[in-house]
Amino acid sequence: MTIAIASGKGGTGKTTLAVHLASLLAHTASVTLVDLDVEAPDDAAYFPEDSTLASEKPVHVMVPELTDACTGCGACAAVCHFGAIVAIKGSVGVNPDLCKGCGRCVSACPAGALVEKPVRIGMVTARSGSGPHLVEGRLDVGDIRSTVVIDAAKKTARDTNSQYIIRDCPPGATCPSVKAVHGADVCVLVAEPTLFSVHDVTAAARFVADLGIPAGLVVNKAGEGSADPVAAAAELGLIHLGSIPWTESMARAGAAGRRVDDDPALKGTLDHIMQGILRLAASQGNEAAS
Amino acid sequence: MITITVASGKGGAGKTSVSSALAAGLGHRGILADCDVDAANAAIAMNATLTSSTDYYSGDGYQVDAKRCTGCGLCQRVCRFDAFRPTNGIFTIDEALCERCGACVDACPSGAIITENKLGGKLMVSRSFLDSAVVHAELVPGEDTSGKLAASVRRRAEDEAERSAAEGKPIDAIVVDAPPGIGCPVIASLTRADMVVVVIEAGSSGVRDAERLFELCASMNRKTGAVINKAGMDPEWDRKARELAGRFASPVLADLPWDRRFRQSTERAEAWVLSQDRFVAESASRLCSAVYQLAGLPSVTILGS
Repeated sequence: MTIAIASGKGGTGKTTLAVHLASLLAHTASVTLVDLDVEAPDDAAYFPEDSTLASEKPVHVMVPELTDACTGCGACAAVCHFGAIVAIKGSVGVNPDLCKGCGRCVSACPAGALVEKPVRIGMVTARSGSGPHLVEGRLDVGDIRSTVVIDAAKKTARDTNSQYIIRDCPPGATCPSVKAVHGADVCVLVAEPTLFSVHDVTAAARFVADLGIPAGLVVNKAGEGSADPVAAAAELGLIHLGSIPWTESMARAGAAGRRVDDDPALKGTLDHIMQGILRLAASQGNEAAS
Repeated sequence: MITITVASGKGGAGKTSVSSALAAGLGHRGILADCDVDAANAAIAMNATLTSSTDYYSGDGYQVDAKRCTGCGLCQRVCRFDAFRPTNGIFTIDEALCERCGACVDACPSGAIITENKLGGKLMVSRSFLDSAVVHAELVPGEDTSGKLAASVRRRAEDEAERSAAEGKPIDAIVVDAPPGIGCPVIASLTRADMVVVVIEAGSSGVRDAERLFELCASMNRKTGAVINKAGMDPEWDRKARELAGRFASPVLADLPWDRRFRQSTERAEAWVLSQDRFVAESASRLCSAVYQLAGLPSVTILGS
């Protein structure tokens, strides 16, 4: 079962929920926590005890290189949608930073002058220890191809064959977030009781609905703000899975990057949230079967 | 006129509050450009009223014409993003996976791939409670366009600045509210920046994510200044936030404690500098003065402007 944790607005508590849920489930099941916030990955820091590196794989994009066979016709540049190839007066140039590796130019070249070479854009690491398996996608600084790294990390997580795969998704409602949530069984949207968060969770809820994935809402930092994400979520058809109250001790632990697994109140809330997630997944299964 | 971009790496660090304060501090001589098109909150923060909205088209997208598709599967074979699904003997495109390269168009022998210019969202201009312009966008959720739309927001803000100057009301600065992360739309937000204000949330994730942003700014040769936000939760990470700024030769322009009065001010949509709460207003005024000074802007009257 794959659970995607997403939000719209950043900083609402995706990582807090993901690491604690993964840690809790790992007591009784095999769990993989995959950090798909590849531009700002922070999950691994919450598991300092699990530092045994299981694998480390660079992520590549196949980028075309010009060979001497190039006639300068510009057919490659004409088909490239990413501005990665420029042809001016018979002279062709490739900008490997903009290439998405679709291969269209290679097929379009009448002279067979383009040869693809791998270019590194990020890294996927896997760690394991006493808690959940930890998979992390990390985009190289300066690169723009987040979605390719997200795909690679999703695949590594899938290959762990864990009972539960928990995806910590990037903030937002466009390509990286969509890629990260795509294919999950259930999506949990995390909101805080602020105007900004209520506004942003709406856009996120829409794209998750478009993907046909059942979704629920978790309110984080409950009590610390006057907006009401639950009412907004109800209008969007989201089920309220539970609320994690704001406490100073949680806030301090978050700042320090420390888990609070032993907090009994949090544990109770997470149990409740998990039951809701299982019900959401089951209801979707029934719908598909009927 | 200069461009000041406010970015953070981590989401929720305080970019929108800081950028709204910086724009409000300039009164009608500042334009706020909300390039966080995925989570556009600057217009809310500036209590702004919509004055114009134009459709934004994001370029070619693709669909399969069910009448022409023969189900040969060549599209699926050339697609490197696994976007084609066999459905009842023909193929359909999973738009969430499509990267819009168009390789399928070249491959389809029966001309069944339809190309259409996709509606990506709306580009909007609003007037804040200070009668300054706020340029922002609303995207169609799930659209593959945040980088291009962020660049369009920035360019539209530049057009607004030119128009304002032509009307005899020159603009001192465009303040860009960048999205979280370090990817495509962040790079688009940093492209024309004369200076970057890096908001470091004083905590483990905030400092780590800001470090990657500082590296990005260094690779783009951008001048940076740091604002440490939500300090006082963990002394070790307060110290590491300062060390990080020092390592990238970035002056600490403000060091704001975690205090719910800031959040309460943001909820009143009053922009921190003009807050009815004296503590918030004074903290933000000091922040603005430090940023304007580093940016080489003339010192401005902040309160009651």
